[in-house]
Amino acid sequence: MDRYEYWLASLNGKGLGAAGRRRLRQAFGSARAVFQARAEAIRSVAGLKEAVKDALIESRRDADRLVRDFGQLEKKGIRMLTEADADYPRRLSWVKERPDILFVRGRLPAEDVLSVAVVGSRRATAYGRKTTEYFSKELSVRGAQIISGMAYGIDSCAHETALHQGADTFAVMGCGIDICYPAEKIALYEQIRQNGGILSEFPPGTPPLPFQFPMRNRIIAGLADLVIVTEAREKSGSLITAGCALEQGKDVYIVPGRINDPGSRGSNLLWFDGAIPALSIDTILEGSVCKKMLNTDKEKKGVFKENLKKDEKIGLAKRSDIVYSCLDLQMKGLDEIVAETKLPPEEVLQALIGMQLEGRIEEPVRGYYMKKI
Amino acid sequence: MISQVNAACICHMQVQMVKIEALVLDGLPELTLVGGADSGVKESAVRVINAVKNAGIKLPPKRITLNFYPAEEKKTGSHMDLAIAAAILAAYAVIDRQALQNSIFIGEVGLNGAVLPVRGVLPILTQTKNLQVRQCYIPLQNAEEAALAGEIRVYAVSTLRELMDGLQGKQAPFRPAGQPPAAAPEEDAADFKDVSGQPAVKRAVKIAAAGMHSFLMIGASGTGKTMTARRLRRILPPLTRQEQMELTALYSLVGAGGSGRALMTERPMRNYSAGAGLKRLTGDLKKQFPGEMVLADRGVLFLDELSAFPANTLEIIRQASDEGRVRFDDGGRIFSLPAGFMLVSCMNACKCGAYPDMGKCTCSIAEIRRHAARISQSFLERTDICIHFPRIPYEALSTSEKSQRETTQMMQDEVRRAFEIQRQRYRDVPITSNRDLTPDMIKIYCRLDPAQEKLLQETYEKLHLSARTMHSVLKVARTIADLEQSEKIGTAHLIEAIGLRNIDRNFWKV
Repeated sequence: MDRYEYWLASLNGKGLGAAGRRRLRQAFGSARAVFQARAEAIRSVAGLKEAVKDALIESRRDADRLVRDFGQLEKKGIRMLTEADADYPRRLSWVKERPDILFVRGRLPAEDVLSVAVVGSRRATAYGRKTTEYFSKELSVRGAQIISGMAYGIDSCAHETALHQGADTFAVMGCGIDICYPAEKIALYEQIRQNGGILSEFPPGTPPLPFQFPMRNRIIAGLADLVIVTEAREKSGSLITAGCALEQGKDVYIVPGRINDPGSRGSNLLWFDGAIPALSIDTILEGSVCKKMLNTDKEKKGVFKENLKKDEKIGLAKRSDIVYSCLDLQMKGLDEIVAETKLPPEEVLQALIGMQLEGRIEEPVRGYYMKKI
Repeated sequence: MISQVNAACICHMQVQMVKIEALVLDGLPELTLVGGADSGVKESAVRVINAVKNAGIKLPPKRITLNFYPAEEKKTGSHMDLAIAAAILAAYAVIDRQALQNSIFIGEVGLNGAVLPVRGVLPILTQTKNLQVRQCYIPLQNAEEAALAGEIRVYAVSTLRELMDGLQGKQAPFRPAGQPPAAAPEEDAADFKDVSGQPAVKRAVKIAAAGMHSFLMIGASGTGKTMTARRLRRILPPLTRQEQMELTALYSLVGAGGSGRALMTERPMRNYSAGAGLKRLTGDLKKQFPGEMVLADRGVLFLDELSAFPANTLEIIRQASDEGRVRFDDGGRIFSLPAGFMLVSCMNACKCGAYPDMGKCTCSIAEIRRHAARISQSFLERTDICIHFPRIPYEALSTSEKSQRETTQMMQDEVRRAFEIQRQRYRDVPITSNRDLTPDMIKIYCRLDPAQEKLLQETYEKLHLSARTMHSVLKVARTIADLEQSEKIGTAHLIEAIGLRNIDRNFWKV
């Protein structure tokens, strides 16, 4: 860790980004040299705004504070690494717009383990959640690490599923690494820190500003070997992640949504850009990256078929059958099911709870039921 | 000569039994009141003396001293007018002192000698049991109410003259004409057959009513939540005679509802909305208003749109619902009034109401979270049943199938049957409906067989239920069994109760 690199990073809020920092390093040789350079020398650097140069010169005066802040990093368990460091993620070094500085809490994603970015809507439906759980689980148990952005909805769901399976998971933040955004996810933040890592290119203390989130999405895409997009709206940030991944030549999978669902329109449209519809975990496992990085020898094929077979075996009572066939992967309320099956409500409820206890159906939201994926 | 009479006053919604002594001595004409009577009572005494004179009874000017016992209790109001009149008349030896024995006098007196009605006659009379009171003199307008008290002979008087006639044995005691008159049922044409296309909702409401279980209705506006609440009252179980008496006494005590004189036969339905202010809910001692929670005793307290209520209001309601009483602090003296209400509340699932249908919901994640944050887990756990109101499909709105729908009458019949079963079962315990089952009683009355125990255990683990929810489930299962007229809780009943269980905060997990 370099105190002077930290100094450069800390000026992020003043408008000094990765490009500016690279320019300075090129002109002076190192961050340290920038710190020790004469004011006129800094002023003469081309391609930097005057305000940034002022900030550079001005901030050097308070060297004590710099030392103090830098010391804080270690206390908070934050690591800073630059692209020159040996353990800078190799996956990122291929990315043209990679961050020159990364802050890390916990670990970095392992280089030789399949890295899957699972992203999607914050306003996830039960279908979105359940499919996310399904794919994340199937990949986690096979040893993949899950990367996402710790937002509400799909992101959190993916992290949680990985943690539940005891797999590694990594969150890339759109704010300073010491800020838990959204704040309610603090328990999740802590768990990710301990069972994987939190990453950010923004110096500690940076507030979550909207324009930073598209920036972090390119890191999510960069750190991943493949991306799964679930329920992205037409202007969703997940599309940026997917776009970056496609640009980087990585496989992007989409969880198909209904054609009339605006919540899935963005992800559905990705098909035209070369994304692959993931119809089951097999679709993903058959991809070349998976074949290379996952040990898929003892593969249990056709999850859905297996489920169907199980149904036949149980030989359900007729009433449950009627109720079950009325259910869907989109959840339905009790009254809707009663109206469709035309059975008395008490019988429908009994069938639903019975099947729920058997584990055949799920109640993702209290009072609403769906088939298990 | 000293005379003594039984009287009573109502101070801050509490009955206070009083003995009034009158002493008339020769000397300069003067009226002295001792024994903790406030200035209002002094006014009463002046009014009474003038009323007596106006009634044509001569009272020579003398020193009159009135003593009120017990002196340490505050006495206020006009309830004691009639008693003061009787005491003074006896002290003047206009009437026989012996005639005052074993009697209580309640009523206000006007300047012209007319006896005017007061509130709280029934609750006062029910508290005279150990005072050896055998007859009461009360205003004519309170006669029907007084007759409800039963064993006490009622002398209904409309003037001071009639009071004297009665005391001299010239008046026959009041006899209620046949059955005590019931409060006229409110004109309410709302019938459940107007509620369309929601068989599951109706079923759940019927179960809730049969066991007096509190329930929460969730759904967008326009799906029939308020409509259902308005129709609920008609299907509630009937009140027992004892409960009717107690409820009438309570309403009479606080002078609420304008039905102080007739027997309350229907359970009260009280609405409380967030905008009405806290005093409306918790009562106001100064205004002698007990609050909606007390007025909803043995009936329904309906809270419209839960998310509009501040957290502390819900906490107050929760506490009262737990205790079944509302406590009042009368200048350091704590007393409580019954508030055994059935809590019925409704709310939108989110600001726009479409949650959890994320395709239709227009709320942001933050809005959904804010909405959910308004209702505490502990409040939700106090609800036995949660009813989801779906958007009504168009076909169901059509009137063609109206005839096939369940009517209020049909639902009422079923509820009554189930309630009668409960009443028989709880003959020997101090509860009337399944919702009041304590954990100990649940062990006795909601017994499960080993297979059902196992099922419940499995449910508890798989669906992450709380202990409180488990109790709710058992109570509701008991009610379903009662509705089906089954002595044992069947597995189907248990499973349906699990399906009706309350929601928790995870409902809004985003």
